[in-house]
Amino acid sequence: MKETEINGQNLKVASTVDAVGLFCPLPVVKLKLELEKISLNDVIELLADDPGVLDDLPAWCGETGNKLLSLVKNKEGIFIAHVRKTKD
Amino acid sequence: MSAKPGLGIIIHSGSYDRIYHGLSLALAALALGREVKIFFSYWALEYLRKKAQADISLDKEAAMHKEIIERNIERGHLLKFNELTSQVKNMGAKFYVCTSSMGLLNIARDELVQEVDKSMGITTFLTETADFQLLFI
Repeated sequence: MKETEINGQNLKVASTVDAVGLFCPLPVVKLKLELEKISLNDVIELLADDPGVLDDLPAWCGETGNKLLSLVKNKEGIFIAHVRKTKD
Repeated sequence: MSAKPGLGIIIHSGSYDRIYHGLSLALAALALGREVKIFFSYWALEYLRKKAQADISLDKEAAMHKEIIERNIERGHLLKFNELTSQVKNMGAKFYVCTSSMGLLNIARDELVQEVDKSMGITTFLTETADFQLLFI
């Protein structure tokens, strides 16, 4: 399983969703569908370049009860987010 | 957390972009885990006819909107119209069609795509979505 470091902690990433190139609301839709496949407390990684995710992702996590661990933009302008499945 | 309101969408317009966006709103609501019920009436019904999409005539503005959306579909930024429709259905939305619009436009049930769950009147739709957020498009 892929590992990543967030706030000095090593985390195992259960699955990566590549939503680069997809417009709103598809990044969140793909994330939701992938989240259904992983186990509770697993972490999922989302890659997207639609700037809508900056607001949509925290809003989606807030309403669905999942935890947004990090959301950063890399040098290539891709947003990388990590979400922990905290709700079945 | 309190129970989330469902989303009811009445799609009345036959404009390609309006229907496309109505279905996108449905998709976002489904991703949030909300219940979605869509009521297709009047000109929107044309899009639910089997093999209908190619024969719909569009005015100049609607044709331009369609062209922009389709360009982005080709580039892979958006889902194809039929993919969007089946995704919305697969994630649990209900598709209802307006009984009186079917009569008005002389459309029989077997002329509509299989994604349609049932036909009903507005009163039934409103009772089915009594505690939902409602949008008219």
